[in-house]
Amino acid sequence: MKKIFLHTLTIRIWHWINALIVIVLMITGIQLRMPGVEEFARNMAIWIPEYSMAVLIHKYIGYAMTLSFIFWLVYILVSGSFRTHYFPRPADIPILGKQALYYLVGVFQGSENPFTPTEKGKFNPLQKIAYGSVMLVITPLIVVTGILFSDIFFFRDVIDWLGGVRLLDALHVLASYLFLLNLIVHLYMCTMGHHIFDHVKAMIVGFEEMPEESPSKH
Amino acid sequence: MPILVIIFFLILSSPVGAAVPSDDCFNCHEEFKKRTSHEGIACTDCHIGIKEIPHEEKLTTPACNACHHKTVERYSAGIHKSKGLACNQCHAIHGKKKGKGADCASCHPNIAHKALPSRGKHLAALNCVACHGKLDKSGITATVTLPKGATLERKVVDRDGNGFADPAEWHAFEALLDQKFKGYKLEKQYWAYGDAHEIMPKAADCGECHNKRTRFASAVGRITDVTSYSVQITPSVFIPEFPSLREFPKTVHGQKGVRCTDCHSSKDKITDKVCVRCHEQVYHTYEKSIHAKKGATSCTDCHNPHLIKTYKEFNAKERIAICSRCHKDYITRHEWLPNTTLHFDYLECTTCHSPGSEKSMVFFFADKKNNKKNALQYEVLERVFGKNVHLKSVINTYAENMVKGEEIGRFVIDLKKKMGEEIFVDAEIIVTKVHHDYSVTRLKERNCVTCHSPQAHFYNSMYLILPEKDHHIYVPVKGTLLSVYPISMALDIYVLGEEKITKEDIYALLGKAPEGFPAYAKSLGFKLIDLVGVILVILVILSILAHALLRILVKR
Repeated sequence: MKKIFLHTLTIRIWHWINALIVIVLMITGIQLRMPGVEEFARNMAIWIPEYSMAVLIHKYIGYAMTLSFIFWLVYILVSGSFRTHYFPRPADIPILGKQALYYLVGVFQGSENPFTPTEKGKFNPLQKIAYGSVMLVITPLIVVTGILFSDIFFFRDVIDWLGGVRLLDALHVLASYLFLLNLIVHLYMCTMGHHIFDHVKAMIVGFEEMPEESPSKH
Repeated sequence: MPILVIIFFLILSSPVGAAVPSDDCFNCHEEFKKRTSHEGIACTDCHIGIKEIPHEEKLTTPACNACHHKTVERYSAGIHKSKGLACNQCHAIHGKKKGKGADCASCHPNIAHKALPSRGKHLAALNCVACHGKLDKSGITATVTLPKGATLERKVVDRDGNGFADPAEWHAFEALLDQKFKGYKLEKQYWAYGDAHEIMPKAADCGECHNKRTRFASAVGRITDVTSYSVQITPSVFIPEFPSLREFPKTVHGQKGVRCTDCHSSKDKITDKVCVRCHEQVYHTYEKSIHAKKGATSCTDCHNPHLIKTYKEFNAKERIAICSRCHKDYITRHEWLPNTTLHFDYLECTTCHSPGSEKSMVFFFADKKNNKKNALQYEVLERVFGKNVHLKSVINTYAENMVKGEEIGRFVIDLKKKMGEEIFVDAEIIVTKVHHDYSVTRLKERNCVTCHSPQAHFYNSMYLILPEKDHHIYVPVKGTLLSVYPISMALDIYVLGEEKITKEDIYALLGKAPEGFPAYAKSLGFKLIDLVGVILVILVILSILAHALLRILVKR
């Protein structure tokens, strides 16, 4: 077995804090969007905050999300992690199809994962697309529209210029759905390691153990 | 030689061209030598008859208008001239003071001003010319001096940024000063500059200040902190509206044929007993409420019986202004409400605090020129659509007693072409049927969903307010105006939350399948995001479950 170091301590701490933020925002967000959820949760004896409290939680945790995002952006740019892990390369193109095929078919036939994460690149091309779009398009969109929502009166000129609060709301919600879809897939894909909790463990301890000379299934 | 120098200086010191040097006059009239009034003028400049000394005993009266042409002209139009008063009866022409006439009080001491209502207030704030003179300039300046180091942005005073502080905004500002700026100073100055020479035979009518506002037509708030700036204020903040007899027939009471003596049957102060003679039912509803017991105990505390408009003519802000006369701190009391001030642009107090009232969403046409939102007035629309137009029949060509959402939409697009892109439909949620129980102070249910949901009660009661010649009409609106436009191109209101998809929408969509499906889906607008989003989430979860199941089956 060899140890491959994948996640720095900073990224690991950030990931779990961010995960907590995302979960809180998702739950309160769903509650804000679909107020009926509140009654449903009460009936199921699940505790969720009161609507007006959910508004405040969503707002202030939203600010935390903003800080978290800015921290991540600065960190990956400064540490060079963006170049190493996120930046698409020509070599990614031929693997793209293979990778998709592996997830759809290969994984059931016991084929080998065409991609092995290393310190020089931890994401396969599909992951680059998924994480890249979540972190560089969807999250910024949510953060910016969210900030505009925090004081509609103050940002009125910007909002009008964008096309009104109605469009702003649509963008925020649309981006949230895309985020949710990615999150669901993310939660499932983290079970696709050599062992079911390998990827989760890696995000806690920082490295992943892999069989010598034989790339694991991903 | 010294004699020559003395003569030279003597010539210099005597006024050039004077027939008789003033110094010669002072030989006899020494007391005038000390005059400071008319100081630089030689005696003979006014007393033109004097050619030599000693002069004749009877002199011609000096003509003040030779120099003070304009003043004398104004004086001739005034009451004092017609009473035969001469200039020197007020002015010490050879006196010490320069330019100042006698105080009014020196001739008119202790004027009782018996007929003047609120005498103390008026006399403390105003000078004599404010009412008795022809005014050149007048206004109100409210100077707010903040404690040292404190700053206050302009938009705290003028919240909606329309360039002036209306009563509701100013009341809220005063409350904010009380709460957060301890030690501030607020000085109100009612200044009037007129020519005291032109005193009118009759004092100005009350309406000149309180109604027509030909006097004190402008008010300015000067906020001095680190930087100093001014904000225009609606003068009715400081000088309350008080209609004149001429305007009374236009008021609700006037229109219904109430005569002065119906209420003012004696010289006594009007009490609720007078009101209750006609408004019995409303009075008994109100009488039992907490508001009546603790707050505004008499009808006239809130209502001005001489008022020009009915409550239907008031917009949300004007309605708030009535409550904020006492509840000045209404904004800080609602800090729990997200986007507090924004809410007060669209709601009035009784939208929430009067559970028995019927609330409606009302729409009206407005423009946004120079970032100032203003409802379109009838005169403006008349210029576009011709004299005596009834907008209702322009918007809805069938003689129905309602307009449809689409009709309003079409009308706005047309209006934008005619009047410019700044035109839009503004909206407010206000009371349209009043119930007088205002007992609800702390709302138990501080729940956003009461309004921010497709089920909000006001969606069942929507009106378009249209200006007519002297009043507004409320035309019921049918259909959904809000979802007609996905982007707020015409509509500047968006009650967040009404764009959520409901069960009804989904059933209706399924019911329309398959032919009517695309058309109905399109009409859902942004609600489709939810529909597509939820379907995608379900699909993704299902495919993941299938994937996981397969993995378990093949044990990978």
